[in-house]
Formats: sequence, structure tokens, C-alpha cells
Amino acid sequence: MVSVNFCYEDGIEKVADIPQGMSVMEGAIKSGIDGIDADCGGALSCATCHVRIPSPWRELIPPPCAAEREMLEFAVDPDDRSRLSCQVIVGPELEGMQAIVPKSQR
Amino acid sequence: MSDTLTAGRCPHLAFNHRAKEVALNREEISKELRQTPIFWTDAFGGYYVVTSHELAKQVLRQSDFTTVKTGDTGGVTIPSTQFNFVPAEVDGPDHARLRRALNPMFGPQAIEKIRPIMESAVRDAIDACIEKGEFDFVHDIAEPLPAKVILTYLGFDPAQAQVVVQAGQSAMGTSSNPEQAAQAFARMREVIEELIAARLETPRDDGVSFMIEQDVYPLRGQELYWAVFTMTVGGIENVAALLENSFLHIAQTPDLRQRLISDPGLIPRAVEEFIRFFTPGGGLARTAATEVEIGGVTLKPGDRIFAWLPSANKDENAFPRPDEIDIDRPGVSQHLGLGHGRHFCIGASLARMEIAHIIGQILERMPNYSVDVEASRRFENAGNMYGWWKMPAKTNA
Repeated sequence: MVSVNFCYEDGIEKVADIPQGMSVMEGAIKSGIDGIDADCGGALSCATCHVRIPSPWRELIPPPCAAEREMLEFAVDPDDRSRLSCQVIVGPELEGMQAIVPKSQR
Repeated sequence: MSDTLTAGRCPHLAFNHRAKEVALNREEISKELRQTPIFWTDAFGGYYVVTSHELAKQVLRQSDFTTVKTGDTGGVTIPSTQFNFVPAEVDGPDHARLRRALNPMFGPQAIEKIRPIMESAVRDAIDACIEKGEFDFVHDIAEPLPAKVILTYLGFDPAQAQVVVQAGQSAMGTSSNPEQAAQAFARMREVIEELIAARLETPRDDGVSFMIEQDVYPLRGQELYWAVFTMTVGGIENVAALLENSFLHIAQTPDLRQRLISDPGLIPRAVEEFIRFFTPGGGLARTAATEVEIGGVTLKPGDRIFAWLPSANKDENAFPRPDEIDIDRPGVSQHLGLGHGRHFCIGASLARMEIAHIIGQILERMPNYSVDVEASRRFENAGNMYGWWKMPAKTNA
């Protein structure tokens, strides 16, 4: 299990313990994390699992594919840290990672 | 022969999702059905039905199930229609490219462009109701507003929009005459083709021009026609059905009404719970593309399967106390009311925005409205669409 901290803009944090090999999105859904809706279930057809992943974790994750980059344009206010959490697979290197849940998704 | 063998391992139930009894008693029937997560019915040439949240998600998500039509079968409806829903009935790499091309039509920037059209339409419609004091929620608000929003955005002028609204009502049950429906759809085709021809010649700043001008997936001819058709019908009847059920529920639930009036920030959450609870567009069909096992049953390529969402959205394993409307429910957005997987509703953000705005404006401007429940009538001849054709109301100002 790898602990991921979901941080909200009002300062609240919620921790989800996610099995290695599972996506951050699936882990969030299974742990009842608010604001990760994942309407399409990871099919890269929506942008409702958008999170912002700050350094140093951002650099540890393989860069987004073209389809993810395009879909991120439909997220509300994406920035350099934006990822679709359905595309981020949990491994031991991500222990303690922060995933900031955008305000618009709560 | 092998059909019978395959189906033999799975329970058989008599179920026809388009039957009048399903339209009128959907809650009770769906509750009973979800005791059986997967079953076979002989209706419409035979199809499997999944009723649990988990199995419905699998059917909608896995690429073993396709939405492509072959001959006169397949597609996202049972029975198959004479229509081609684009992009819903396109699959594989073409579909991925088509969604990439069309998604921006309903992305955040597009939504901001639609917002002023929507706000002025809602203001005018509510003004007219307040002026009259008595109104019909279906015909004065729920049907015309979503129609006005999507049709104006696509590029239709108001006179054309009226033709489209009539065709939708003919198909969905407000008028039950098949000949009338065929005529209404023929007229609708002319109107859509006129709009496409005009924009092919001189593009403007509207949705149809966007479809023509984007070059990720060049849309022309029949495919372009069906894409415009799908956006047109998809944006009206589902939204109307959700609004009608929500309007009635709020009228009958004083605590909820008061809460939403005092804290309008809760309305988007309430909308998600209404989508779960009312699931306006009943079910979605797929076809097995390969041999695939689901819920312990093996399907052969070509077998039809139907995700009955009114049951899946009330599966107690996914939603504790499923028969209660609870806007504070954890995981409220995990419903399948807007679909799931790669065909997830392309207009979901627009639908959510307009439903929340309309409910918000009603509660602000006619907070004491009442509904004449006795005189209200549900669609009886379209079990797949959980809408109303009549809902008299008073503003009680």
C-alpha cells in the first residue's frame, strides 16, 4: 500500500492507501475521496479526475500521453502540475505523494 | 441453437424495457430486477440485461462490448433505431479521434459561451410563468429551455428550433402517433440539412460550424448529419425529464426545498443525486464483440446486452439506502446516469450547468411554487425515457 494525500484548497487533507499498480483515480474512488468523480471510469473521455501533482512527485511520473494532454484542456484551469489521476499508476516511489483536488471539483 | 444454450445458464425473466408498465412502475420493477444481476429476456429477439452497478459498469467500460451497428442490429438502443447516433455508435480508434474532435464543443470555454444564451432564456421563461401565475412546467420550462440552449448553440434559428422540439416530442411520447412522428422527423431532417448546407457555405461562430471546421476528424455527408442530429436530440429530452422529476420532488419535500433556498451552493450536489435517483434515460445497449464472460455468463460475439441503469443506480452495494434521495450521500457522483466509459455523455457539463441554473432560478424567483400532482402525467409509451408530458404548476407569488 502506498499513501497518497489528497489536498483540498481549503486546507483539508485526506489520506488514501492505494495498492501498488492501481491508478490514483481508482484508489481515490475506492477510498471515497470527494472531488474525484471519474465519470468515464478511466477511458480518457472526461476530465473529472483532474488533480495537480506538485514536485517532487510530478517528476517521478511518466509524462502524459497525447490523449491525456488533450483531455486536460477540458479540465477547469489546468496548469503545469495537472494530471488525470486515472493515468497515474501508484508505485512505491509515490509514497506520501500530494494530489491537489481543484476547487471546481468539490 | 447455441443462443438457447448460452442463455440456458442464466435466469430468464419476462422484461421489456419499453413496455407501458415499466414507464409507469419503474421503481418497483427495477427493485425486483436487481435481485438478479444478469438475466435473459426474449423481448425484441432476445437480449441479456445487467442490473447491478458493477456489471453495468463493466458492460459500459470494457472494449469487449461495442456500440457499432451491423445491418439492422447493434447500436446503443434495443431495438435498434433507424437513426445513427454519432459519436455514440462509432467505436474503436475512429471513435477516439471523433471524441477528441468533438469534446471541445462542450469543454469549459464552450460552456462559458453558452452561459449568456442560457441565462437570458431562463430569465424570459420564468418571467412569463410569473406573469401568468399558473403554468405547465413541462411545456413552459423543462422542454423549451434545454431545446433553446442546445439549438441556439448549434446554430439553429428560433423557427427551425420549433420543428426540432416537435420531432422530439413526437418520438418520446407527448404525441403517440407513429405517422406523425415519421413526418416530424422528416421535417427535422430537412431543417438540419438546411443548417448544415448554410454553414458549409459560410461558417459562423456556432456548434455546427465548429463540427465542419475542426480537422481532427473531418465530418461530412451522412456522418455530419447524424452528429448534428445526435447533439440535437441528446440535449433536450433527457434534460427535460430530469428537470421535471426534480421539480416535482422538491415541491414534495419541504426540508430539501428550504435547504436549497438557504444554501444554493448545494444545488449541484442535489442535481447529481437526482440524476442517480431518476436516471432519465433508462438503459444503454451494447453488443458482445468477442466471446466475453460477464457475471458468470458467457456471451458470444453478436449477443446483445442491455445495462438497465434504473436498477444499477439503486444497487445497495454501491449506494446504501438506495431508495432515499440523500444529497449528502458520499460518492454521489458514482451513478451511471450519464453513462460510463468511453461513450460517457459528451454534453454532461452543459447538462449539469443548465439543470443547476434552472433549479436555482426557480427556487430564487418562485420559492413557493406548487405542483398539481393529480393532473400531472408521465410518458406512457416510452419506457426508456422517464419524463412527463404534463405538469401543471402555480408560482404562488
